[in-house]
Amino acid sequence: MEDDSDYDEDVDTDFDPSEWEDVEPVPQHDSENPVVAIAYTDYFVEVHSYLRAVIKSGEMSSRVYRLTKAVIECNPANYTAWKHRRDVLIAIKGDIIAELAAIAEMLVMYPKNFQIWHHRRELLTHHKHHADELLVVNKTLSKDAKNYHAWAHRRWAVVTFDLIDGEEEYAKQLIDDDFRNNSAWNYLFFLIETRDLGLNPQARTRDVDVEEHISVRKREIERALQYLKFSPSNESVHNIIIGHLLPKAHREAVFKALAPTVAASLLPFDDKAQVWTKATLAEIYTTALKYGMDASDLPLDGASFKDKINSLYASLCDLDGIRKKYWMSLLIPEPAP
Amino acid sequence: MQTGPIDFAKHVRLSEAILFGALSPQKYDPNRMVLLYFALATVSVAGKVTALAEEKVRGIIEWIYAQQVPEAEGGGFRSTHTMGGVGLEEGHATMTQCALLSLIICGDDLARVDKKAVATHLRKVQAENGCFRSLSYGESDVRMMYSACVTCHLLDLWDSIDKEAAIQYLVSCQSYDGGFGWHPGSEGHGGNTFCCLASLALLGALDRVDTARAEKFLVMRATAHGFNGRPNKDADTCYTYWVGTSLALLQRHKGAEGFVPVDAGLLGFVAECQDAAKGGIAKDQATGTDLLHTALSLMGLRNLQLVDSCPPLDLRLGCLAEAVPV
Repeated sequence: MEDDSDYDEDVDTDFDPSEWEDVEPVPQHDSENPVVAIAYTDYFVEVHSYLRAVIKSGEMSSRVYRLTKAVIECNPANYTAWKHRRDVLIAIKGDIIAELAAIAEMLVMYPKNFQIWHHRRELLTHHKHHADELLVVNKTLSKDAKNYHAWAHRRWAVVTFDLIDGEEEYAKQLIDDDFRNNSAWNYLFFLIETRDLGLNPQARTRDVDVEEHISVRKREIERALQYLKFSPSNESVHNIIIGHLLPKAHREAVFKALAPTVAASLLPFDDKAQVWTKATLAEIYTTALKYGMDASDLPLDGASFKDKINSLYASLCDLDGIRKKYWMSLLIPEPAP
Repeated sequence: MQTGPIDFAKHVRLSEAILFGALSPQKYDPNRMVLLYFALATVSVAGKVTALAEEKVRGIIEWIYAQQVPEAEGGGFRSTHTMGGVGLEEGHATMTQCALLSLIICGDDLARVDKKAVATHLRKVQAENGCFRSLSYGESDVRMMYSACVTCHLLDLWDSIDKEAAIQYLVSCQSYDGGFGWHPGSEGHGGNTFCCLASLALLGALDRVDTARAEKFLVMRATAHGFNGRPNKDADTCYTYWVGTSLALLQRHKGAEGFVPVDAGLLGFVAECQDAAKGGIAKDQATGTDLLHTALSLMGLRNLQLVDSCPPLDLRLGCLAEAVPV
């Protein structure tokens, strides 16, 4: 539950009680034993009383549209008010583009609010105006480059409106800003699978032959290895390497084709980044063993898979004490006598 | 009772104040039912529910049932009365889950839950892609999936949902790093990983995903001082629960119950994030406390067997295993 930072309890809005003199407000009815009692301000009670009244009466008008703003400003997480705002806006054939602009302002204050992002998506199913969506996400990410909601919205917008061109550049830029931005690496992975491999069922899927899969994965691993030079202990990069080496599609073919060179490319990093290099190598060798690969195909220095894997995990027990029990659990046991 | 440096008494006092006394800010109104659950969960994990006055507990039970939504309006439970009674307030997936768990913690047998209405709610909120929405018009992601699975389990309403579609959606949420995102393609994240693994455990389908890679992702969340939720991010006490309980679930699935594969200095980290004066636990030492971090830190510590303050919790549900009505 991502909560928002503190905000004003009563905000200046255009709620004008004199506009509502013809409406009988519907009072709040908390039960006799309110638990987790809430400190409702008089203003809160008042605007909600009118909203309850117009929901009951079914009035759809511009004053109701403005009233929902007053309610939402009391409580940006009030999903009922947001829903009603959408319904009214569409019923009065209001200006959706203006609404999207106004909501973008609210996102600056509440960038992790589920209802606001959802409101945009719902409105955009009615009015396919997408030109500003990436700009809205850019603005949010410029303040917090790991905002989970913003990235989710970007993925949705890119797929829904076919905006994938130019996105690799954006992902690359965010990665260059911060090599450790796991969200940016995750986004790049999503782009490659969507655009280059046609694997995303929400976008256009297509059949890509296994040779192309291997070629794309190889290219992406090489890209990742470049970043490893500058940040050899970077978990995000190690995860990307394993992610492309052991993908869901054509897993065995890709792995067998690429594992030997990837393992060899990782060896030089063992000096500077012992824990991560050893962990990734151990995972590669364990998988190679599972797939029945030949030990001589991989840089094991003549050791058997089992000896090499166990030696790596034994080292990890020493080097990475907080995970000692985990590394020990991965040791390959001696066969029972 | 082994409590170490955790000041359970202060956290219970804070929870009781929020339950019965202090007025919470109105920004919590849409999540009131969740706040109720976190307050009760804190008292419960401290082993102190029986110490609450009987008439107060009855009052809680009555208040919860007052938030039950009739079938004609959508079924399930709402968060609060604010928008109630005007025919627009459907049940919300998470509020329904929190209502049921709160009732259980209070010792209620759920007999007054309108199961038929909740079944209607579940059918309304399951999306075409197998995932679940918060409400029929709300956002869809694995948090709501988890809420729906808890509800199905507690009321035995599995026939109301498409289980296979739900399982396939969960499988598609496993990321390349072994963690789970809230949609397919989303970043592996500690909280979403718990929602997916616990849902799969409730669905009896943990073997449909790569649990070994999930375990690796979770294990790598450990720092010397707490768990983080994503690679290269800071530790946060709430991941004591999301990551810790996920690890415990996977260990149980492997038949290695009680084995904790990492030492993330959690007791010390959580202890440092306590407010010594007022009680409550914060996400880190630089932030104020809140009930979410309080409840989740304590439940996480219990699930990892780092404290011994109450009988075991049901790892999938977030309440005492013995409290769940059969």
